[in-house]
Amino acid sequence: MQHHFLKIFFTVVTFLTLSTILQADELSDIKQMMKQNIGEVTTLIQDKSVAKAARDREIETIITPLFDFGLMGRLSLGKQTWKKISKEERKAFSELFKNRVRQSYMSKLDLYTDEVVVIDDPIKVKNRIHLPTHLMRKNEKRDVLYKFYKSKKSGWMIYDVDILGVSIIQTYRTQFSGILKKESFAALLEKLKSNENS
Amino acid sequence: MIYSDFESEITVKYFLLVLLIVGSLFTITPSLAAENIEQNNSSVVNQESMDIVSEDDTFDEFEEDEFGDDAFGDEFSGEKENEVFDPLSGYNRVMTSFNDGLYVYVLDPVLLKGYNYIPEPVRVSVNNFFDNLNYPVSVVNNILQLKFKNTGTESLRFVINSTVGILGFFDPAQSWFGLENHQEDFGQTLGYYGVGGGFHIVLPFFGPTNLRDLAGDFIDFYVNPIYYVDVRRYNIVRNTYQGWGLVTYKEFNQMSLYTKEYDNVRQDALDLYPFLRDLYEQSRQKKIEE
Repeated sequence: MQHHFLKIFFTVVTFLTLSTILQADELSDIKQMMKQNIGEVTTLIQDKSVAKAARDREIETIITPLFDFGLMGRLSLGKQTWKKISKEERKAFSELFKNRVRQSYMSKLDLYTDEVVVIDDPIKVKNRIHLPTHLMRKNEKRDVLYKFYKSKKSGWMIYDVDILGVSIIQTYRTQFSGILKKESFAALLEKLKSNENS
Repeated sequence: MIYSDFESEITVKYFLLVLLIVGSLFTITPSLAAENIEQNNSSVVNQESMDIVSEDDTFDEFEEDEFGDDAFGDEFSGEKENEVFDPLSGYNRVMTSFNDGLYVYVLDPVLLKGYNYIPEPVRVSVNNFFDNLNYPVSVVNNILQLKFKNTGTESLRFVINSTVGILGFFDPAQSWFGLENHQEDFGQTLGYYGVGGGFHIVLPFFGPTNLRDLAGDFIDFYVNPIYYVDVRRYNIVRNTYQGWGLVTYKEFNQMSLYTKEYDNVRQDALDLYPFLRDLYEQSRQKKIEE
């Protein structure tokens, strides 16, 4: 009987230690990965010898795989609306939304000059991971928080970014629901399109 | 003499008004909070049956579960617009367009273009100077929120920047000693003690605020030397007009430092008013939580 108890005890202990080690690994993996990516992006921006167009393309290839644009779009639209619209509309929306968010992120990089980006320790929030980062600009601390979730296919991916405490997804959600209150879905797509290259 | 009596009568009226507003806030917010909780609860029930799935470029197998949320639903709000209590939305929209138009057609191309001939480091210094004068406001509110460590840091910053930093024009406390600022205002203090934002208000020229923060500003006027509220020893202006002039100049100078940001951010908006409202309310919320 006692033998049996010990066996269970050890299994539980091993399981717990293993799972904490694995979790710690996941956290530091994400930190490491983002450190590398952000490092690459900042050196690219600071390197004035590369033309802007080429540089932007390179940055996009680094950034794009980190984000789950599909999920970001769906969350921004909200489940109720997503269920209502047709397949074609979903496809058109996802494409437009992806371009828009990517472009908006890229345009934020133009504001960057030579500040040091500090990556703080990741925080586990339920089954997601939040990675706080900050930089100092004109003597003010600017926080950027990357939120990751674990996707079945591609591992940890970003589903939202908080800039100075403002969630990108939340701002889109409010705007989309407001627009859809008064106008059709086609009008929303038109709005997403019209701002595409401004 | 008669004039100053008249002035203090006005300030008493202001004070009563502020008390009234704050009082009404306490009554408004709990009922709102209860509503929110109810809504959140109902969305939890809906979402519980869902699985985690995501990431798909193939749009063929679209089932319920691609939303992927065991909890994504609670994380964001606003799928139904009635969650945002915004009785002034009509006025706010007009005022947002007015302020934005003012920026795009007057401030940016005319006033700021001229003003920005002053080199940026000088404008940053002016901003530092005003920030340093904000010390009494910050220290009072840090104490009210029982943040004693930050009170100490702020005081140290004030001493260092007023002396070594030449009347606060420079910020050696930050750049040499790594002392970050922890500015607090009365709006944040109210938030700290659980007062909700109340409804959103867009002021002409000064932009977005809400009932709580506006009330907070009136309280902060009493301790900030750059405003003129009463005959005080530490007034640096002589009357109300000069006080407002100084406040406007302070805001204008600050704006000149962030034109690129504003240009950039307003391009992200599909609908400017709710976008700016979210930006304001969320970033204030974050400041309160810190």
